Amino acid sequence: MDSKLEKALDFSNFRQTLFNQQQTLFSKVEDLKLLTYRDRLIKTSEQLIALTKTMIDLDNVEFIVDDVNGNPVKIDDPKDFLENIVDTYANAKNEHFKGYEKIRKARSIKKLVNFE
Amino acid sequence: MKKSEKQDLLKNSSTLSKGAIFFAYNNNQLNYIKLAYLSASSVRKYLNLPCTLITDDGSLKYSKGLKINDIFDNIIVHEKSESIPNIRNYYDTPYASYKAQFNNLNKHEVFELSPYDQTILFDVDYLVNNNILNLSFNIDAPVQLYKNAQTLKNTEPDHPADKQLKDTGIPLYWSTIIYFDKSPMSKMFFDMWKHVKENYDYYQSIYRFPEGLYRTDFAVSISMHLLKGFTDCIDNVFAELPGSPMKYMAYKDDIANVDKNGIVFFANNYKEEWQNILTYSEGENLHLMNKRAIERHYDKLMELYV
Repeated sequence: MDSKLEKALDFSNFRQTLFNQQQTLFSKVEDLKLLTYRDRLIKTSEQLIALTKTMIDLDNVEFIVDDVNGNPVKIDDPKDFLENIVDTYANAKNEHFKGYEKIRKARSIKKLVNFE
Repeated sequence: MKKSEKQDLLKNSSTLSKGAIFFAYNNNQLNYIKLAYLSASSVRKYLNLPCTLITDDGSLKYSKGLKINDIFDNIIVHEKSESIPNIRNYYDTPYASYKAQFNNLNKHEVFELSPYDQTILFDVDYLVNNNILNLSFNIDAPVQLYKNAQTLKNTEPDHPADKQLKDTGIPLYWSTIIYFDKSPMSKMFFDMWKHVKENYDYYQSIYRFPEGLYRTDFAVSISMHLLKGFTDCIDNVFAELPGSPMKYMAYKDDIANVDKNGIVFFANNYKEEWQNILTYSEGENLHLMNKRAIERHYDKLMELYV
């Protein structure tokens, strides 16, 4: 191990590194929640899924949601849209869980940053 | 198959061509073609896009050891039209720096040079590690680029000039990656960029950003400000790329190690330069500003994209 690395490891605080890796994971998961639909960029969320399911249950054949910039997007096939957003959201949260478990089990800075 | 997936497939198989473009003009310190080779390898692996290299004859001759035809589908030899000095101070960690010509004066010409209907222009120090940028092809916005960026420590940029052109100035848009199509709106954007470049001193006096180096980030930011009617509104013509904020490794950060899945960094403390924390990045797109660090770990980085 070179002295620069030793010095960096000395200065590195485990909690700081842990927090940083959690933030990194969070950003990645936020990106995984994105999908495009009708030429718009949409971020999936529990609320969006709940809204879509409610609209389907109330027999709405179309409804409006916001894209990431707050622009309205018409959803004209709610069932297909629901399938898409559930898939995307579930995949993002699975990745979140996998990443979180890996971070949670790490007990050293070296393990947190995969430096073995 | 879901209806929207079918639509996406239909879109992908449509006659619109898609591709990535890299400008690479070597200077006396850095082999930009070698950097472009690495970046294009990452693009091919994660975005599966054809890649075009724009370079000059001298740089191309210097790259004989690289199998550039394996990575680039198209090589355009486009000599630089101007040879104005544009000297940049490059850092390599807080402890070393070097000066070299920054050949970025003709970047706005990409609109004319691109052989694709839909193009993503990449800086050669950008590594793609996921497929999120492919979403940009499905968004109804002719020009897309990043406005927000964050450091390896997941914080806002340390340097004020990486957020705004000056303390109370307009926000900075990054020219690191730009998606554009061949629409009149895109053409207008690149024409405005050219105009700002040609009148850079004038705009420097108006927008009060630091004198000297021609930064395409500044030219792009001013173009956006002018085209958006002097406001900083969110619109559907000039949109942010998916995956905002753009994550970057600053000039004073370093690479500690590259493993088979990701990169371990020394994230430097801007205020106390002798301190670093270790950070690990896997599956994130990264703008690696410290080009010497890329050179030191080049072979290992290439292994990520085999």
